[in-house]
Amino acid sequence: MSKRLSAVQQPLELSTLVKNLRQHEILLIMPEGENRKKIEQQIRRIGFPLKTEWPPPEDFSSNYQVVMLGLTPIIENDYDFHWDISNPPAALVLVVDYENPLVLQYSLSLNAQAIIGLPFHPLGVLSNLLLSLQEFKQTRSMLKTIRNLESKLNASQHIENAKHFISEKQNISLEAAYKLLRKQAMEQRMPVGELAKEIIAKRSFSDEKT
Amino acid sequence: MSNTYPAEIPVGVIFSQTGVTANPEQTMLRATLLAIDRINRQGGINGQQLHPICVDPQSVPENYGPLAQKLIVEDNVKLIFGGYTSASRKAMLPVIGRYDVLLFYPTQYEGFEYAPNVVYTGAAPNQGCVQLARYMLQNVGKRVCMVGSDYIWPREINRIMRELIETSDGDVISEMFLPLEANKEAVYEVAKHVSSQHPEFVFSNFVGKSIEYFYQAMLELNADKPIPIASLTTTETEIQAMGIKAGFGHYTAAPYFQSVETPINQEIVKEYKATYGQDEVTTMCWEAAYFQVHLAIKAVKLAESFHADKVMEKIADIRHSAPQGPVRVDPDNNHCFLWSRIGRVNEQGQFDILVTSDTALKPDPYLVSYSTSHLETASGESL
Repeated sequence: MSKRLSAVQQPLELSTLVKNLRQHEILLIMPEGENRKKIEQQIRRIGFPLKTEWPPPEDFSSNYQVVMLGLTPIIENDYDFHWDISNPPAALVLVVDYENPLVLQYSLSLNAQAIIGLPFHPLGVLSNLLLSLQEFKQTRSMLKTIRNLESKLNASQHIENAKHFISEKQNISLEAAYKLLRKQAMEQRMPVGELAKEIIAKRSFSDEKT
Repeated sequence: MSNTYPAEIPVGVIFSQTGVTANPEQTMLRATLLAIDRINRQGGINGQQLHPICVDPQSVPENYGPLAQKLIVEDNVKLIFGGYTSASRKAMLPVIGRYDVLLFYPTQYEGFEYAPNVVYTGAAPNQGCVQLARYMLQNVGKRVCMVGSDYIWPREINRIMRELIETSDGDVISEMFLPLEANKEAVYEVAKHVSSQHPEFVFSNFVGKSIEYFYQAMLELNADKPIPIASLTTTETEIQAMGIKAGFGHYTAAPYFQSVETPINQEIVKEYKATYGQDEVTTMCWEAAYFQVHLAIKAVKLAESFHADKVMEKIADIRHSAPQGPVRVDPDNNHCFLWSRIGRVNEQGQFDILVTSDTALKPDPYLVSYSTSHLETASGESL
Protein backbone atom coordinates (compact mmCIF):
# COMPACT_ATOMS: atom_id res chain seq x y z
CA MET A 1 0.00 0.00 0.00
CA SER A 2 2.85 2.38 0.80
CA LYS A 3 3.80 2.16 -2.84
CA ARG A 4 0.35 3.36 -3.81
CA LEU A 5 0.49 6.20 -1.29
CA SER A 6 3.83 7.53 -2.44
CA ALA A 7 2.72 7.49 -6.05
CA VAL A 8 -0.01 10.01 -5.38
CA GLN A 9 1.67 12.37 -2.95
CA GLN A 10 2.43 14.87 -5.68
CA PRO A 11 -0.70 16.68 -6.88
CA LEU A 12 -1.09 17.20 -10.57
CA GLU A 13 -0.21 20.79 -11.41
CA LEU A 14 -2.84 22.43 -13.60
CA SER A 15 -1.34 24.12 -16.61
CA THR A 16 -1.83 27.89 -16.60
CA LEU A 17 -3.74 27.45 -19.86
CA VAL A 18 -6.38 25.38 -18.09
CA LYS A 19 -6.30 27.48 -14.96
CA ASN A 20 -6.88 30.74 -16.81
CA LEU A 21 -9.32 29.20 -19.25
CA ARG A 22 -11.81 32.02 -19.11
CA GLN A 23 -9.28 34.74 -19.86
CA HIS A 24 -8.83 33.62 -23.45
CA GLU A 25 -10.85 35.65 -25.91
CA ILE A 26 -12.25 33.97 -28.96
CA LEU A 27 -13.38 35.34 -32.29
CA LEU A 28 -15.84 33.15 -34.18
CA ILE A 29 -16.11 33.90 -37.89
CA MET A 30 -19.13 32.15 -39.36
CA PRO A 31 -22.36 33.19 -41.01
CA GLU A 32 -25.41 33.12 -38.76
CA GLY A 33 -27.21 29.83 -38.53
CA GLU A 34 -27.82 26.74 -36.47
CA ASN A 35 -24.17 25.63 -36.48
CA ARG A 36 -22.88 28.98 -35.35
CA LYS A 37 -25.53 29.13 -32.64
CA LYS A 38 -24.51 25.74 -31.25
CA ILE A 39 -20.80 26.54 -31.28
CA GLU A 40 -21.47 29.93 -29.70
CA GLN A 41 -23.54 28.36 -26.92
CA GLN A 42 -20.88 25.78 -26.13
CA ILE A 43 -18.12 28.41 -26.01
CA ARG A 44 -20.19 30.59 -23.69
CA ARG A 45 -21.07 27.55 -21.57
CA ILE A 46 -17.38 26.87 -21.09
CA GLY A 47 -17.05 30.53 -20.18
CA PHE A 48 -14.76 31.99 -22.85
CA PRO A 49 -15.30 35.65 -23.77
CA LEU A 50 -16.58 35.46 -27.34
CA LYS A 51 -17.21 37.74 -30.30
CA THR A 52 -18.77 36.68 -33.57
CA GLU A 53 -18.24 38.21 -36.99
CA TRP A 54 -19.30 37.68 -40.56
CA PRO A 55 -17.94 38.30 -43.15
CA PRO A 56 -14.31 37.87 -42.10
CA PRO A 57 -12.67 41.12 -40.92
CA GLU A 58 -9.85 42.76 -42.88
CA ASP A 59 -7.64 43.00 -39.81
CA PHE A 60 -7.43 40.99 -36.66
CA SER A 61 -7.09 42.85 -33.44
CA SER A 62 -4.55 41.25 -31.20
CA ASN A 63 -7.10 40.92 -28.40
CA TYR A 64 -8.12 37.50 -29.57
CA GLN A 65 -6.16 34.47 -28.59
CA VAL A 66 -8.12 32.14 -30.83
CA VAL A 67 -9.84 32.70 -34.15
CA MET A 68 -12.41 30.09 -35.14
CA LEU A 69 -13.27 30.09 -38.79
CA GLY A 70 -16.08 28.37 -40.63
CA LEU A 71 -14.15 27.16 -43.65
CA THR A 72 -16.86 26.05 -46.06
CA PRO A 73 -18.60 29.44 -46.28
CA ILE A 74 -15.21 31.02 -47.01
CA ILE A 75 -14.53 28.60 -49.84
CA GLU A 76 -18.06 28.63 -51.24
CA ASN A 77 -18.44 32.39 -51.24
CA ASP A 78 -14.88 33.05 -52.30
CA TYR A 79 -14.24 35.39 -49.39
CA ASP A 80 -10.79 36.77 -48.77
CA PHE A 81 -9.42 35.62 -45.51
CA HIS A 82 -6.29 37.60 -44.68
CA TRP A 83 -4.24 35.39 -42.48
CA ASP A 84 -0.50 35.90 -42.19
CA ILE A 85 0.73 32.38 -41.65
CA SER A 86 4.34 33.48 -41.12
CA ASN A 87 3.23 35.64 -38.20
CA PRO A 88 -0.34 34.68 -37.25
CA PRO A 89 -2.13 37.02 -34.81
CA ALA A 90 -3.85 34.17 -32.94
CA ALA A 91 -4.37 30.44 -32.85
CA LEU A 92 -6.56 29.27 -35.70
CA VAL A 93 -9.28 26.63 -35.34
CA LEU A 94 -11.21 25.66 -38.43
CA VAL A 95 -14.80 24.48 -38.42
CA VAL A 96 -15.31 22.09 -41.31
CA ASP A 97 -18.14 19.96 -42.61
CA TYR A 98 -16.19 18.14 -45.32
CA GLU A 99 -12.88 16.35 -45.46
CA ASN A 100 -12.33 16.46 -49.20
CA PRO A 101 -8.96 17.41 -50.73
CA LEU A 102 -10.04 21.00 -51.35
CA VAL A 103 -10.92 21.54 -47.69
CA LEU A 104 -7.76 19.75 -46.59
CA GLN A 105 -5.69 21.92 -48.91
CA TYR A 106 -7.19 25.08 -47.37
CA SER A 107 -6.67 23.77 -43.85
CA LEU A 108 -3.03 23.03 -44.51
CA SER A 109 -2.35 26.29 -46.31
CA LEU A 110 -3.83 28.27 -43.41
CA ASN A 111 -1.65 26.29 -41.02
CA ALA A 112 -4.55 25.73 -38.63
CA GLN A 113 -3.79 24.37 -35.15
CA ALA A 114 -7.01 22.40 -34.77
CA ILE A 115 -10.14 21.38 -36.62
CA ILE A 116 -13.68 20.97 -35.33
CA GLY A 117 -16.03 18.86 -37.42
CA LEU A 118 -19.69 19.40 -38.18
CA PRO A 119 -22.38 18.29 -37.37
CA PHE A 120 -21.60 19.94 -34.09
CA HIS A 121 -20.75 17.90 -31.01
CA PRO A 122 -20.03 19.62 -27.66
CA LEU A 123 -17.31 17.20 -26.60
CA GLY A 124 -14.00 18.25 -28.13
CA VAL A 125 -14.56 21.99 -28.42
CA LEU A 126 -12.77 22.76 -25.17
CA SER A 127 -9.93 20.33 -25.90
CA ASN A 128 -9.41 21.65 -29.41
CA LEU A 129 -9.39 25.26 -28.27
CA LEU A 130 -6.80 24.50 -25.59
CA LEU A 131 -4.64 22.39 -27.88
CA SER A 132 -4.65 25.12 -30.51
CA LEU A 133 -3.73 27.74 -27.92
CA GLN A 134 -0.90 25.64 -26.56
CA GLU A 135 0.40 24.87 -30.03
CA PHE A 136 0.17 28.55 -31.01
CA LYS A 137 1.97 29.74 -27.89
CA GLN A 138 4.68 27.11 -28.23
CA THR A 139 5.24 27.89 -31.88
CA ARG A 140 5.44 31.58 -31.16
CA SER A 141 7.90 31.12 -28.36
CA MET A 142 9.94 28.72 -30.50
CA LEU A 143 10.05 31.28 -33.31
CA LYS A 144 11.25 33.86 -30.83
CA THR A 145 13.96 31.52 -29.61
CA ILE A 146 15.01 30.77 -33.17
CA ARG A 147 15.26 34.50 -33.96
CA ASN A 148 17.35 35.06 -30.85
CA LEU A 149 19.62 32.17 -31.71
CA GLU A 150 19.99 33.41 -35.27
CA SER A 151 21.03 36.84 -34.12
CA LYS A 152 23.42 35.34 -31.58
CA LEU A 153 24.92 33.14 -34.25
CA ASN A 154 25.34 36.14 -36.55
CA ALA A 155 26.92 38.15 -33.75
CA SER A 156 29.36 35.40 -32.95
CA GLN A 157 30.37 35.21 -36.62
CA HIS A 158 30.97 38.96 -36.68
CA ILE A 159 32.99 38.74 -33.49
CA GLU A 160 35.09 35.93 -34.90
CA ASN A 161 35.81 37.94 -38.06
CA ALA A 162 36.56 41.11 -36.12
CA LYS A 163 38.92 39.25 -33.77
CA HIS A 164 40.97 38.02 -36.71
CA PHE A 165 40.95 41.45 -38.30
CA ILE A 166 42.17 43.20 -35.11
CA SER A 167 44.68 40.50 -34.29
CA GLU A 168 46.27 40.81 -37.74
CA LYS A 169 46.17 44.58 -37.80
CA GLN A 170 47.68 45.01 -34.34
CA ASN A 171 49.78 41.90 -34.37
CA ILE A 172 48.32 40.58 -31.11
CA SER A 173 46.86 37.23 -30.08
CA LEU A 174 43.21 36.39 -30.83
CA GLU A 175 42.51 36.41 -27.12
CA ALA A 176 43.99 39.87 -26.70
CA ALA A 177 42.05 41.04 -29.77
CA TYR A 178 38.82 39.86 -28.22
CA LYS A 179 39.58 41.58 -24.92
CA LEU A 180 40.24 44.78 -26.80
CA LEU A 181 37.03 44.46 -28.76
CA ARG A 182 34.99 43.78 -25.66
CA LYS A 183 36.57 46.70 -23.78
CA GLN A 184 35.75 49.10 -26.57
CA ALA A 185 32.20 47.79 -26.87
CA MET A 186 31.71 48.39 -23.16
CA GLU A 187 33.07 51.91 -23.40
CA GLN A 188 30.78 52.67 -26.30
CA ARG A 189 27.89 50.91 -24.59
CA MET A 190 27.04 48.74 -27.51
CA PRO A 191 26.80 44.97 -27.94
CA VAL A 192 30.09 43.34 -28.89
CA GLY A 193 28.43 41.77 -31.92
CA GLU A 194 27.24 45.15 -33.19
CA LEU A 195 30.65 46.74 -32.84
CA ALA A 196 32.23 43.73 -34.53
CA LYS A 197 29.82 44.10 -37.42
CA GLU A 198 30.72 47.77 -37.79
CA ILE A 199 34.44 47.08 -37.73
CA ILE A 200 34.13 44.46 -40.45
CA ALA A 201 31.92 46.74 -42.52
CA LYS A 202 34.33 49.69 -42.25
CA ARG A 203 37.44 47.51 -42.26
CA SER A 204 38.92 49.86 -39.68
CA PHE A 205 39.76 49.60 -36.04
CA SER A 206 41.51 52.18 -33.94
CA ASP A 207 42.71 51.62 -30.46
CA GLU A 208 43.37 54.90 -28.71
CA LYS A 209 46.06 53.30 -26.61
CA THR A 210 48.23 52.23 -29.53
CA MET B 1 -54.23 2.25 -35.58
CA SER B 2 -55.90 0.94 -32.47
CA ASN B 3 -52.80 1.89 -30.47
CA THR B 4 -52.92 5.60 -31.23
CA TYR B 5 -53.89 6.30 -27.65
CA PRO B 6 -52.14 3.69 -25.58
CA ALA B 7 -53.44 3.38 -22.07
CA GLU B 8 -49.94 3.52 -20.66
CA ILE B 9 -46.87 5.56 -21.47
CA PRO B 10 -43.66 3.55 -21.08
CA VAL B 11 -40.74 5.31 -19.36
CA GLY B 12 -37.30 3.77 -18.87
CA VAL B 13 -35.69 3.43 -15.45
CA ILE B 14 -32.09 2.31 -15.38
CA PHE B 15 -30.53 1.80 -11.96
CA SER B 16 -28.37 -1.09 -10.78
CA GLN B 17 -30.05 -3.44 -8.37
CA THR B 18 -26.93 -5.59 -7.99
CA GLY B 19 -23.18 -4.96 -7.91
CA VAL B 20 -20.92 -2.37 -6.20
CA THR B 21 -23.12 0.70 -6.68
CA ALA B 22 -26.41 -1.13 -6.07
CA ASN B 23 -26.93 0.51 -2.68
CA PRO B 24 -27.35 4.13 -3.80
CA GLU B 25 -28.93 3.07 -7.10
CA GLN B 26 -31.62 1.05 -5.33
CA THR B 27 -32.47 4.15 -3.32
CA MET B 28 -32.72 6.12 -6.55
CA LEU B 29 -34.87 3.43 -8.11
CA ARG B 30 -37.32 3.57 -5.20
CA ALA B 31 -37.44 7.38 -5.39
CA THR B 32 -38.18 7.20 -9.11
CA LEU B 33 -40.95 4.65 -8.63
CA LEU B 34 -42.44 6.69 -5.79
CA ALA B 35 -42.55 9.78 -8.01
CA ILE B 36 -44.10 7.84 -10.90
CA ASP B 37 -46.68 6.38 -8.55
CA ARG B 38 -47.58 9.84 -7.23
CA ILE B 39 -47.92 11.23 -10.75
CA ASN B 40 -50.13 8.31 -11.75
CA ARG B 41 -52.36 8.83 -8.73
CA GLN B 42 -52.76 12.43 -9.82
CA GLY B 43 -53.91 11.36 -13.26
CA GLY B 44 -50.65 10.64 -15.09
CA ILE B 45 -50.28 12.60 -18.29
CA ASN B 46 -53.77 13.66 -19.38
CA GLY B 47 -55.25 10.51 -17.94
CA GLN B 48 -52.63 8.17 -19.33
CA GLN B 49 -50.63 6.30 -16.73
CA LEU B 50 -46.84 6.17 -16.75
CA HIS B 51 -45.56 2.65 -16.98
CA PRO B 52 -42.02 2.30 -15.57
CA ILE B 53 -39.84 -0.28 -17.30
CA CYS B 54 -36.94 -1.02 -14.99
CA VAL B 55 -33.70 -2.65 -16.09
CA ASP B 56 -30.70 -3.70 -14.00
CA PRO B 57 -27.27 -2.86 -15.44
CA GLN B 58 -25.61 -4.68 -12.48
CA SER B 59 -23.19 -1.81 -11.76
CA VAL B 60 -21.32 -2.51 -15.01
CA PRO B 61 -20.88 0.72 -17.03
CA GLU B 62 -20.79 -1.18 -20.35
CA ASN B 63 -24.30 -2.50 -19.69
CA TYR B 64 -25.96 0.90 -19.57
CA GLY B 65 -25.64 1.64 -23.29
CA PRO B 66 -27.20 -1.57 -24.63
CA LEU B 67 -29.91 -1.46 -21.95
CA ALA B 68 -30.80 2.13 -22.81
CA GLN B 69 -31.02 1.05 -26.45
CA LYS B 70 -33.27 -1.87 -25.52
CA LEU B 71 -35.55 0.45 -23.56
CA ILE B 72 -35.88 2.78 -26.52
CA VAL B 73 -36.06 0.29 -29.38
CA GLU B 74 -37.96 -2.61 -27.83
CA ASP B 75 -39.96 -0.99 -25.07
CA ASN B 76 -40.53 2.26 -26.89
CA VAL B 77 -39.86 4.41 -23.82
CA LYS B 78 -40.24 8.16 -24.20
CA LEU B 79 -37.91 9.22 -21.41
CA ILE B 80 -35.13 7.58 -19.42
CA PHE B 81 -34.39 8.17 -15.75
CA GLY B 82 -31.16 6.82 -14.38
CA GLY B 83 -27.41 6.44 -14.32
CA TYR B 84 -25.13 6.79 -11.35
CA THR B 85 -21.40 6.86 -12.12
CA SER B 86 -20.05 9.16 -14.82
CA ALA B 87 -19.01 6.05 -16.75
CA SER B 88 -22.61 4.85 -16.79
CA ARG B 89 -23.81 8.23 -18.07
CA LYS B 90 -21.11 8.39 -20.76
CA ALA B 91 -22.14 4.91 -21.92
CA MET B 92 -25.72 6.07 -22.53
CA LEU B 93 -24.87 9.34 -24.34
CA PRO B 94 -24.45 7.97 -27.89
CA VAL B 95 -27.64 5.91 -27.62
CA ILE B 96 -29.91 8.68 -26.35
CA GLY B 97 -28.36 11.02 -28.91
CA ARG B 98 -28.98 8.64 -31.78
CA TYR B 99 -32.65 8.10 -30.89
CA ASP B 100 -33.16 11.64 -29.60
CA VAL B 101 -34.57 10.54 -26.25
CA LEU B 102 -34.10 12.59 -23.07
CA LEU B 103 -32.10 11.24 -20.14
CA PHE B 104 -32.59 12.59 -16.62
CA TYR B 105 -29.44 11.98 -14.61
CA PRO B 106 -29.73 12.46 -10.84
CA THR B 107 -26.16 12.19 -9.53
CA GLN B 108 -23.65 14.85 -8.58
CA TYR B 109 -20.65 14.57 -10.86
CA GLU B 110 -17.42 16.39 -11.71
CA GLY B 111 -18.81 18.67 -14.44
CA PHE B 112 -17.28 19.42 -17.86
CA GLU B 113 -20.06 17.96 -19.86
CA TYR B 114 -22.98 19.20 -21.85
CA ALA B 115 -25.13 16.86 -23.90
CA PRO B 116 -28.26 18.36 -25.45
CA ASN B 117 -30.31 15.28 -24.49
CA VAL B 118 -29.35 15.12 -20.82
CA VAL B 119 -30.85 16.98 -17.88
CA TYR B 120 -28.42 16.95 -14.98
CA THR B 121 -30.25 17.16 -11.66
CA GLY B 122 -27.39 16.42 -9.24
CA ALA B 123 -24.92 19.04 -8.05
CA ALA B 124 -22.04 20.43 -10.08
CA PRO B 125 -18.82 21.10 -8.10
CA ASN B 126 -19.61 24.79 -7.75
CA GLN B 127 -22.81 23.90 -5.88
CA GLY B 128 -21.31 22.19 -2.85
CA CYS B 129 -17.58 21.80 -2.89
CA VAL B 130 -16.88 25.53 -2.59
CA GLN B 131 -19.36 25.98 0.25
CA LEU B 132 -17.95 23.00 2.15
CA ALA B 133 -14.40 24.30 1.81
CA ARG B 134 -15.46 27.73 3.01
CA TYR B 135 -17.26 26.35 6.04
CA MET B 136 -14.49 23.98 7.10
CA LEU B 137 -11.68 26.52 6.61
CA GLN B 138 -13.52 29.23 8.52
CA ASN B 139 -14.90 27.11 11.33
CA VAL B 140 -12.88 23.95 11.75
CA GLY B 141 -9.28 24.32 10.66
CA LYS B 142 -6.74 24.75 7.91
CA ARG B 143 -4.44 21.71 8.15
CA VAL B 144 -6.09 19.08 6.01
CA CYS B 145 -5.59 15.48 4.93
CA MET B 146 -7.39 14.39 1.77
CA VAL B 147 -8.45 10.82 1.02
CA GLY B 148 -10.59 9.31 -1.70
CA SER B 149 -11.45 6.48 -4.04
CA ASP B 150 -9.29 6.44 -7.12
CA TYR B 151 -11.34 7.51 -10.11
CA ILE B 152 -12.23 10.66 -11.96
CA TRP B 153 -14.76 12.19 -9.54
CA PRO B 154 -12.67 12.10 -6.33
CA ARG B 155 -9.56 13.17 -8.23
CA GLU B 156 -11.27 16.19 -9.75
CA ILE B 157 -13.03 17.15 -6.52
CA ASN B 158 -9.79 16.80 -4.56
CA ARG B 159 -8.08 19.00 -7.11
CA ILE B 160 -10.69 21.72 -6.55
CA MET B 161 -10.59 21.29 -2.78
CA ARG B 162 -6.79 21.53 -2.75
CA GLU B 163 -6.94 24.74 -4.75
CA LEU B 164 -9.48 26.23 -2.36
CA ILE B 165 -7.47 25.21 0.69
CA GLU B 166 -4.18 26.47 -0.66
CA THR B 167 -5.57 29.83 -1.77
CA SER B 168 -6.96 30.32 1.75
CA ASP B 169 -3.60 29.84 3.49
CA GLY B 170 -4.57 26.31 4.35
CA ASP B 171 -2.23 23.37 4.15
CA VAL B 172 -2.87 19.99 2.52
CA ILE B 173 -0.70 17.66 4.59
CA SER B 174 -1.30 14.58 2.49
CA GLU B 175 -3.49 13.16 -0.24
CA MET B 176 -4.22 9.47 -0.61
CA PHE B 177 -6.33 7.46 -3.02
CA LEU B 178 -7.39 3.82 -2.84
CA PRO B 179 -9.05 1.69 -5.51
CA LEU B 180 -12.84 1.79 -5.43
CA GLU B 181 -12.93 -1.86 -4.29
CA ALA B 182 -10.37 -1.36 -1.50
CA ASN B 183 -10.82 -3.74 1.42
CA LYS B 184 -11.24 -2.88 5.07
CA GLU B 185 -7.55 -3.40 5.88
CA ALA B 186 -6.35 -1.05 3.15
CA VAL B 187 -8.76 1.68 4.30
CA TYR B 188 -7.66 1.11 7.92
CA GLU B 189 -4.04 1.70 6.91
CA VAL B 190 -5.00 5.02 5.34
CA ALA B 191 -6.97 6.00 8.46
CA LYS B 192 -3.92 5.16 10.57
CA HIS B 193 -1.64 7.25 8.40
CA VAL B 194 -4.08 10.17 8.44
CA SER B 195 -4.50 9.97 12.23
CA SER B 196 -0.75 10.03 12.75
CA GLN B 197 -0.58 13.36 10.92
CA HIS B 198 -3.05 15.07 13.29
CA PRO B 199 -4.93 17.14 10.71
CA GLU B 200 -7.54 19.67 11.80
CA PHE B 201 -9.96 17.93 9.47
CA VAL B 202 -10.02 15.23 6.80
CA PHE B 203 -11.64 15.71 3.43
CA SER B 204 -13.01 12.33 2.41
CA ASN B 205 -13.96 11.51 -1.13
CA PHE B 206 -14.35 7.82 -0.56
CA VAL B 207 -17.21 6.24 -2.43
CA GLY B 208 -19.01 2.95 -1.76
CA LYS B 209 -17.99 0.58 1.03
CA SER B 210 -14.75 2.49 1.75
CA ILE B 211 -16.84 5.24 3.37
CA GLU B 212 -18.05 3.14 6.27
CA TYR B 213 -14.66 1.43 6.66
CA PHE B 214 -12.95 4.80 6.89
CA TYR B 215 -15.32 6.44 9.39
CA GLN B 216 -15.29 3.31 11.56
CA ALA B 217 -11.50 3.18 11.53
CA MET B 218 -11.25 6.90 12.35
CA LEU B 219 -13.58 6.39 15.32
CA GLU B 220 -11.52 3.47 16.58
CA LEU B 221 -8.18 5.26 16.12
CA ASN B 222 -9.22 8.65 17.53
CA ALA B 223 -11.83 7.81 20.17
CA ASP B 224 -10.32 10.30 22.66
CA LYS B 225 -9.97 13.18 20.25
CA PRO B 226 -12.12 12.77 17.15
CA ILE B 227 -10.83 14.28 13.90
CA PRO B 228 -13.67 15.91 11.93
CA ILE B 229 -14.34 14.50 8.48
CA ALA B 230 -15.88 16.55 5.67
CA SER B 231 -17.42 14.92 2.62
CA LEU B 232 -19.60 15.38 -0.43
CA THR B 233 -20.44 11.70 -0.68
CA THR B 234 -21.34 10.55 2.83
CA THR B 235 -25.12 10.51 3.04
CA GLU B 236 -27.77 9.25 5.45
CA THR B 237 -27.41 5.79 3.87
CA GLU B 238 -23.71 5.55 4.67
CA ILE B 239 -24.26 6.86 8.21
CA GLN B 240 -26.83 4.12 8.72
CA ALA B 241 -24.39 1.51 7.36
CA MET B 242 -21.41 2.65 9.46
CA GLY B 243 -23.40 3.19 12.65
CA ILE B 244 -24.35 6.52 14.17
CA LYS B 245 -21.34 6.50 16.53
CA ALA B 246 -18.91 6.40 13.62
CA GLY B 247 -20.75 9.13 11.76
CA PHE B 248 -21.46 11.41 14.69
CA GLY B 249 -20.13 14.97 14.42
CA HIS B 250 -18.90 14.71 10.83
CA TYR B 251 -19.82 17.10 8.01
CA THR B 252 -21.40 16.66 4.58
CA ALA B 253 -22.35 19.20 1.94
CA ALA B 254 -25.39 18.41 -0.20
CA PRO B 255 -28.39 20.12 -1.81
CA TYR B 256 -30.66 17.96 0.34
CA PHE B 257 -30.74 16.14 3.66
CA GLN B 258 -33.61 14.09 5.01
CA SER B 259 -33.85 16.68 7.78
CA VAL B 260 -34.70 19.56 5.42
CA GLU B 261 -37.77 21.21 6.89
CA THR B 262 -39.79 22.08 3.81
CA PRO B 263 -43.42 20.88 4.10
CA ILE B 264 -43.02 19.01 0.80
CA ASN B 265 -40.08 17.11 2.20
CA GLN B 266 -41.73 16.23 5.47
CA GLU B 267 -44.75 14.90 3.66
CA ILE B 268 -42.84 12.86 1.10
CA VAL B 269 -40.43 11.37 3.64
CA LYS B 270 -43.43 10.23 5.64
CA GLU B 271 -44.99 8.64 2.58
CA TYR B 272 -41.70 7.02 1.56
CA LYS B 273 -41.22 5.45 4.98
CA ALA B 274 -44.81 4.26 5.02
CA THR B 275 -44.27 2.57 1.65
CA TYR B 276 -40.75 1.19 2.02
CA GLY B 277 -40.30 0.84 5.77
CA GLN B 278 -39.61 3.09 8.75
CA ASP B 279 -35.89 2.25 8.63
CA GLU B 280 -35.50 3.68 5.14
CA VAL B 281 -33.63 6.99 4.89
CA THR B 282 -33.72 9.57 2.14
CA THR B 283 -30.56 11.12 0.68
CA MET B 284 -29.38 13.68 -1.87
CA CYS B 285 -29.39 10.96 -4.56
CA TRP B 286 -32.88 9.91 -3.58
CA GLU B 287 -34.16 13.46 -3.70
CA ALA B 288 -32.71 14.25 -7.14
CA ALA B 289 -34.10 10.99 -8.50
CA TYR B 290 -37.47 11.91 -7.01
CA PHE B 291 -37.80 15.50 -8.13
CA GLN B 292 -36.44 14.94 -11.64
CA VAL B 293 -39.41 12.71 -12.53
CA HIS B 294 -41.82 15.49 -11.56
CA LEU B 295 -39.73 18.02 -13.46
CA ALA B 296 -39.68 15.83 -16.58
CA ILE B 297 -43.41 15.16 -16.57
CA LYS B 298 -44.26 18.83 -15.98
CA ALA B 299 -42.11 19.73 -18.98
CA VAL B 300 -43.73 17.03 -21.13
CA LYS B 301 -47.17 18.35 -20.22
CA LEU B 302 -46.16 21.90 -21.00
CA ALA B 303 -44.57 20.90 -24.31
CA GLU B 304 -47.46 18.55 -25.11
CA SER B 305 -44.79 16.30 -26.55
CA PHE B 306 -42.05 13.82 -25.64
CA HIS B 307 -39.84 15.18 -28.40
CA ALA B 308 -36.50 16.10 -26.83
CA ASP B 309 -36.20 19.55 -28.43
CA LYS B 310 -39.74 20.50 -27.53
CA VAL B 311 -39.42 19.34 -23.93
CA MET B 312 -36.11 21.16 -23.53
CA GLU B 313 -37.64 24.32 -24.94
CA LYS B 314 -40.18 24.36 -22.11
CA ILE B 315 -38.28 22.86 -19.23
CA ALA B 316 -36.46 26.03 -18.20
CA ASP B 317 -39.82 27.75 -17.66
CA ILE B 318 -40.69 25.37 -14.84
CA ARG B 319 -40.14 26.41 -11.24
CA HIS B 320 -40.49 23.11 -9.46
CA SER B 321 -40.93 22.82 -5.72
CA ALA B 322 -38.58 19.97 -4.86
CA PRO B 323 -38.09 18.59 -1.35
CA GLN B 324 -34.85 20.65 -1.15
CA GLY B 325 -36.74 23.84 -2.15
CA PRO B 326 -37.61 25.46 -5.50
CA VAL B 327 -35.37 24.30 -8.34
CA ARG B 328 -35.20 24.88 -12.08
CA VAL B 329 -33.15 23.90 -15.11
CA ASP B 330 -30.57 26.37 -16.37
CA PRO B 331 -31.08 26.51 -20.15
CA ASP B 332 -27.44 27.58 -20.61
CA ASN B 333 -26.15 24.15 -19.66
CA ASN B 334 -29.05 21.75 -18.80
CA HIS B 335 -27.87 21.50 -15.20
CA CYS B 336 -30.09 22.60 -12.29
CA PHE B 337 -30.19 25.55 -9.96
CA LEU B 338 -29.79 23.74 -6.62
CA TRP B 339 -29.62 24.62 -2.96
CA SER B 340 -26.40 24.24 -1.07
CA ARG B 341 -26.37 23.00 2.50
CA ILE B 342 -23.82 21.93 5.09
CA GLY B 343 -25.00 19.30 7.54
CA ARG B 344 -23.44 17.72 10.63
CA VAL B 345 -24.40 14.26 11.84
CA ASN B 346 -26.39 14.30 15.08
CA GLU B 347 -27.21 11.60 17.62
CA GLN B 348 -30.08 10.29 15.53
CA GLY B 349 -27.81 9.72 12.52
CA GLN B 350 -29.50 12.59 10.75
CA PHE B 351 -27.92 15.85 9.67
CA ASP B 352 -28.28 19.05 11.65
CA ILE B 353 -28.26 21.68 8.94
CA LEU B 354 -25.67 24.33 9.78
CA VAL B 355 -25.78 26.41 6.62
CA THR B 356 -28.31 26.82 3.82
CA SER B 357 -27.67 29.01 0.80
CA ASP B 358 -29.85 32.11 0.45
CA THR B 359 -31.13 30.84 -2.84
CA ALA B 360 -30.68 27.98 -5.30
CA LEU B 361 -27.22 28.32 -6.87
CA LYS B 362 -26.63 28.62 -10.59
CA PRO B 363 -24.75 25.60 -11.93
CA ASP B 364 -21.38 26.28 -13.56
CA PRO B 365 -20.25 22.86 -14.83
CA TYR B 366 -17.26 24.27 -16.73
CA LEU B 367 -15.73 26.21 -13.84
CA VAL B 368 -12.03 25.28 -13.80
CA SER B 369 -10.33 27.55 -11.40
CA TYR B 370 -11.62 28.06 -7.90
CA SER B 371 -10.18 30.62 -5.57
CA THR B 372 -10.99 32.46 -2.38
CA SER B 373 -12.98 34.93 -4.45
CA HIS B 374 -15.38 32.07 -5.05
CA LEU B 375 -15.41 31.50 -1.32
CA GLU B 376 -16.60 35.04 -0.80
CA THR B 377 -18.93 35.44 -3.72
CA ALA B 378 -20.30 31.94 -4.18
CA SER B 379 -23.81 33.18 -4.09
CA GLY B 380 -26.50 32.29 -6.51
CA GLU B 381 -28.46 33.98 -9.17
CA SER B 382 -31.97 34.09 -7.84
CA LEU B 383 -34.70 31.87 -9.11
